[in-house]
Amino acid sequence: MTELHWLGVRSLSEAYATHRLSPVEVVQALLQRIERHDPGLNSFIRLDAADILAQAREAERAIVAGRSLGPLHGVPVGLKDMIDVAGVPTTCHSKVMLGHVARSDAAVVGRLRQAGAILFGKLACHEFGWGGHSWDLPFPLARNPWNRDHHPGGSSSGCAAAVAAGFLPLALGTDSGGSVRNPASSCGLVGLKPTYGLVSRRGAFPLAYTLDHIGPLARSVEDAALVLDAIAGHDAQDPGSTSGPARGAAADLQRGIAGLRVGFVRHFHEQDMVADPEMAAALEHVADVLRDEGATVTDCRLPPLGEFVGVNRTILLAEAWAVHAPWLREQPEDYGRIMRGRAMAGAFLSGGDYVQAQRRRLELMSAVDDVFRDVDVLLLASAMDPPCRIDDPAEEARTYARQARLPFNVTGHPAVVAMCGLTRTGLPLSVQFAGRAFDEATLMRVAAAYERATAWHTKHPPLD
Amino acid sequence: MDDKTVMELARAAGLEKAARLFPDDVIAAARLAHTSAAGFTAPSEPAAEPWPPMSMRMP
Repeated sequence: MTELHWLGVRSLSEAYATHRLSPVEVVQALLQRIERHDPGLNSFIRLDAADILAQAREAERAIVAGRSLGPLHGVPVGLKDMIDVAGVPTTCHSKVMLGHVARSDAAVVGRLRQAGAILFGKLACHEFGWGGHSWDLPFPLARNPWNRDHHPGGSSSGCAAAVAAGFLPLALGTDSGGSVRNPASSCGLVGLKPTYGLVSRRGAFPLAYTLDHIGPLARSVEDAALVLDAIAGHDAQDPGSTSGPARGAAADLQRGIAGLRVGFVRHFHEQDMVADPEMAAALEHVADVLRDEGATVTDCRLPPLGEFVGVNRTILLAEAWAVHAPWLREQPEDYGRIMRGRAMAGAFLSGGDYVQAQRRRLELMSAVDDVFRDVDVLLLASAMDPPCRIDDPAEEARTYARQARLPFNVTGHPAVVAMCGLTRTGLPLSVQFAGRAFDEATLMRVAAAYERATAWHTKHPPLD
Repeated sequence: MDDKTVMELARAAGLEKAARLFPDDVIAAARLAHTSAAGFTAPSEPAAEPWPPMSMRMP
């Protein structure tokens, strides 16, 4: 039988419905596991056991009384500490925000409450979702459960560490250049960035208004899809919000992929940024698996990866400067060194630079849409390298930008990463799939088919 | 852009304190901005619009 801390949403929900498990039992077991293992991983910034147990008791009473709210009822979900919960501090892992207490719930938190989820603490991240692995922050840095000497990825680093370690089945992170998918890749998880506008950003601290997304980290494609379906939907208070698609992300998970057309974007990792050999070999194997499952896999080309990088960085620098300029002028010493250096960069861009990037962005969006006329889903690298050592800033700096996630922050298309192997040294390798705008159902269908065929999602870090 | 110019621009942007306390970070920020903006091809078509477009909502 699967150990309790590795159970996913469906298993928990079924166990609650048949009274084989209760939410209280589950959160007690998870709290014990966290107490035992998190001192070495630093995934949590804030954990209120009394509040968590109170939520679990309430869920238990409702489920026993036959008032189940759906598959997430009684299921713990962690939050990156950039997402507001009313009455709880949101620190963004920064000294700048230490005194800040959220006045209301983020839109996604409201939707999780409606679904009956248990809000299970605030998780470590890179400072303001961008500051890299700085050692000069008010909370310790999260570490990779697969090997604590290695980087867990970021910026939703605590989310990934906690889910991979079996502290939680689910977490919500934010993603402006890959910050859900990067740590999910580094920790062997599923990480989903939905279509821009599908999930409200209200109540998540902004990094870059037109690049920011909120998405789930989970141990299976189904779990990620179920969370997305719970948090998606129009929000009139988010100016970027749009109405969601008729079909949910979990609608087609069991359909298989016979006849689907997959475009393999090889030039990203073979020419534009040459990937580590183990990563490249793992991607080839993914393509073989998809063919075996009945999909047609053909090579296809997007604009050069460097074009997406330049556009993403220019927009991010300009928009982040707009957010942080007042604090950078008054209290630059309160930032970590990495975030301070990055956030000030927008001061040196012109208005014209920003507009040119947004004009080029529209061209890149059109180019990606054009490719989706011929294929249903794209297969491509997430990171070009396995996770590096946490105590090697030179290697972190080298590998930080060697990724192919940010194109979909630029274009807004949905993208998901999933584990696709282990290095010789036992660190996760990851593949990325991207889909048409608002077609999360097909995107997750492909990821689910790959997951079923390979079962990498059943591998866990050697913590115990 | 030389370091002296960077510092003048930083002060003009209100970053006097950062320029005084963290001059290396300010110079690194200016370099990051330059490489980012030089990292993509600006559209040659004058009519190419930026994203997101200006749009109006029905009252």
